[in-house]
Amino acid sequence: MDQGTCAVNDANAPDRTRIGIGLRVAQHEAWRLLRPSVDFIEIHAENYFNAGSPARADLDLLRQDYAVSIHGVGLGLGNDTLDDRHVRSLQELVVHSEPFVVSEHVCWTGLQGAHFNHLLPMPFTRETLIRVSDHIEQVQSVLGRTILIEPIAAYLRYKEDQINEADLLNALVDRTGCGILLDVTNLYVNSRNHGEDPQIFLDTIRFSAVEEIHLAGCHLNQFRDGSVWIDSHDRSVSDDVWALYRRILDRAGPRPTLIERDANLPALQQLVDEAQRARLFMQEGPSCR
Amino acid sequence: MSLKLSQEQFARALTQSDFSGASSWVRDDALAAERHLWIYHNQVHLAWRDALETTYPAVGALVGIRYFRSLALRYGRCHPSSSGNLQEYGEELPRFLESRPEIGQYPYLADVARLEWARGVALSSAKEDTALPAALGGIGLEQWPDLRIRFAPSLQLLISAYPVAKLWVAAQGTPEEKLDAKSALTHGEAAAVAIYRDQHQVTVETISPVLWRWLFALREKAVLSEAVDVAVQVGSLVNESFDLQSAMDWAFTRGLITGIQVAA
Repeated sequence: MDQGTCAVNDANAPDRTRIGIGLRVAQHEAWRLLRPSVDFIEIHAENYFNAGSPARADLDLLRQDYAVSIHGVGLGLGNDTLDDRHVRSLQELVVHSEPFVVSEHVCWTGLQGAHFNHLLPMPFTRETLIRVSDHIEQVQSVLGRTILIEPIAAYLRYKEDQINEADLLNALVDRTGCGILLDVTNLYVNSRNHGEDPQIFLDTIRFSAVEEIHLAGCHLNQFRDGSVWIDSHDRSVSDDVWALYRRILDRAGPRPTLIERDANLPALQQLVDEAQRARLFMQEGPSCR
Repeated sequence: MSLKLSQEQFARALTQSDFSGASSWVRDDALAAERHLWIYHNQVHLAWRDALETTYPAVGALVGIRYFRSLALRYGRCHPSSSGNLQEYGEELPRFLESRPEIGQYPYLADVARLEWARGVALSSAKEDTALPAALGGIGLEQWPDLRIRFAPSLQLLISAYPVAKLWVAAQGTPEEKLDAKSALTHGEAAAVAIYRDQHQVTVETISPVLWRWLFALREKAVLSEAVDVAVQVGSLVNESFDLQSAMDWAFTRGLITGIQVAA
């Protein structure tokens, strides 16, 4: 689709305008009391792996009122091997919670049994494509459903990159049938850190596969010898990221949109207001700027 | 370059601060290659440090947060995470503390850490339906010696040569609680502790060593008669009697018994 062409909502439009907020354990009490007016909650899978734990009990209560999205942060689709125990825990949680989407990241997190508990970047190469697609298929086979994959915010790029990130994501979609979770903040951070034009990503990525969008806060870390944008999830979504989000809506039409906040948690209502802003933009429709 | 090699070199940068291999394939962008790797190195260790601070607040309070953070960094180098679930990080900290000569003046610290780890286990453990005393109704007295009793998964048992529960309370407690812990430490007070969860609340309770030994034996799959025997033996050593009815009441009233069956 050419830049400037407006997307038209399809029959799934009502579902696609869902807004959500990441559910963090420290805010469970506030959720129970306030019951904020959003459509879905997104949980970090690993925080709810323990069946019968208080966190799981809170989730079960909230599931009565909200759709659930399960977002994994520790599986490591790019690891040398997948951790069977982790995959089984994810499967149990998915069966239990009946989420409308399950997502993970295109990254690696550990090697030979060691885990770094961080989303680490991979080169954009054929070997990465094969390894990650094999692992996506493995996970989808265990879960009995497709997952969404999220490209990460990266603080380094490999010299040996052979293709651009959007081409890699499209190829993963082709090989596995998975969908894409597009984090607008990651796209913004990567463009600023690596001098990449987000328009090239937007012109390349297959929007028909994009099933969820993330928005989060980021900031510039300045050092003596330069500066790096950090996807910190510790503040409100910036105006630049909102602007990029609107460009994506123009291209893709509405998509379920989540406000992610993991640190420096504000009052829950502030996150609801941000999510409502996303809803407003989706309801306004294409801006045809 | 293969993924295997690049990930091995990346891992060495993260865990050993060895950037020599990885910096050769990282692109210079906003910063020089090695500085990009430092960002990941620091973020990984910060995540591990934060996880330890969350799990071990009392240890942090007892040694001071600045020293705790330097310990956390050294711990991360010796014990990288072995799970994709950060909640499982830090189990080896008690043994790590015991291995540090510079904290030999705080010999109780490792046991305070064990208590805090046990609290985390209790908080995240599965919930099972509680058995009621009526469950004993259908079991003949002659079968009681062969009973096996199953406890709630949240029940954790800790024994220490130090007043570990008082020290844990004092770490973040009132001046009176600190004084109480100091006095107990001076008097060489030991502690047998049960840690368990009721709904969302974890309780840390100091119990008698006799009750502790009975619970421990049953949890280790002893039948009731064997557990009573070891409890009585311990009682004779500490000059304390063991009363089965009181012990059963203690466990039932706290909802800790989840299964009773006669051993085959």
